[in-house]
Amino acid sequence: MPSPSDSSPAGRVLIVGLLSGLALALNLLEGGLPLPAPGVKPGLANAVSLMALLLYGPRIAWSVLAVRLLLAGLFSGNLFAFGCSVSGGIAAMTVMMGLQRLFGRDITAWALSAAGAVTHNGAQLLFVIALVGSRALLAYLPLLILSGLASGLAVGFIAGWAAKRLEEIRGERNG
Amino acid sequence: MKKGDKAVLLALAGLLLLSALPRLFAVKEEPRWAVVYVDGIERKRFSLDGPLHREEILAGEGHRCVVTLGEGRIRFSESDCPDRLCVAQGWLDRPGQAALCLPNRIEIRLEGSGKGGDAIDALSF
Repeated sequence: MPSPSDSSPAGRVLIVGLLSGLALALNLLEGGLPLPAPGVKPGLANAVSLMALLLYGPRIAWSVLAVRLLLAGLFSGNLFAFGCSVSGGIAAMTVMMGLQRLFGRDITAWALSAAGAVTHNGAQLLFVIALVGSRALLAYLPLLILSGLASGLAVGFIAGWAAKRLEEIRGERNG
Repeated sequence: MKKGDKAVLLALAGLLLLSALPRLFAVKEEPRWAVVYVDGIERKRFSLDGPLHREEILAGEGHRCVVTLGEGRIRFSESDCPDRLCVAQGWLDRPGQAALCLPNRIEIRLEGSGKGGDAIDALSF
């Protein structure tokens, strides 16, 4: 993985390209999994958003998110799914970035991820409620918070571990 | 555990509790009506008192869903939408519960015997 000090335009394009590809692959993989209930899913692609945020900062993370949302939307061709993932993705990234800025070194990857996943699910539900105009769907909120919490923690551990390992590799190579 | 981790966990636990409150305090009530909305507009209203039977719901552009209802409950049992998440949502048997077929824009919602009948709406906002 290129180092974060590599701030040349080509370096940034390379990083965003690599991470976007990874996120899209995970997205497609996840699409093949059977889901226990609507909206309940692992959110593997968020692991990549989180890694981008941890390793390279908000600018790269937003770029990766934008590329993934646009291309995943084109792949699926499903406007509802696109709206859901855009509302969820943007809200989750905003919260994760805000928490990182607020707490700095006083917060761990899994907590960022859990907060992001729950925000993602909540924003998605709000989007659906706004679309159909039915507040009765709020009854789903506890289930979506719970599943976001579980999958967010799991994904956060993976992303945190991977980011740490990548930094170690970088350190070995540079040092 | 770091300071930020604790804050996040605390906030999420609070959020979960808050969102579950309407359900915890909901009065146990038998659902009496299943209301079907197409495009957010009430289309049909079924009584749930009878034996189980199937009803066809037609939406725009030739799309259709089939619901099974009776004995105090209802579910999506067939749909021509691509993901069939509506069918995966299973049975609804409490007032205020709802299931949705987003591609076909069909929603089913249960109402109790009380006026308005929607415990969730009344309690949450």
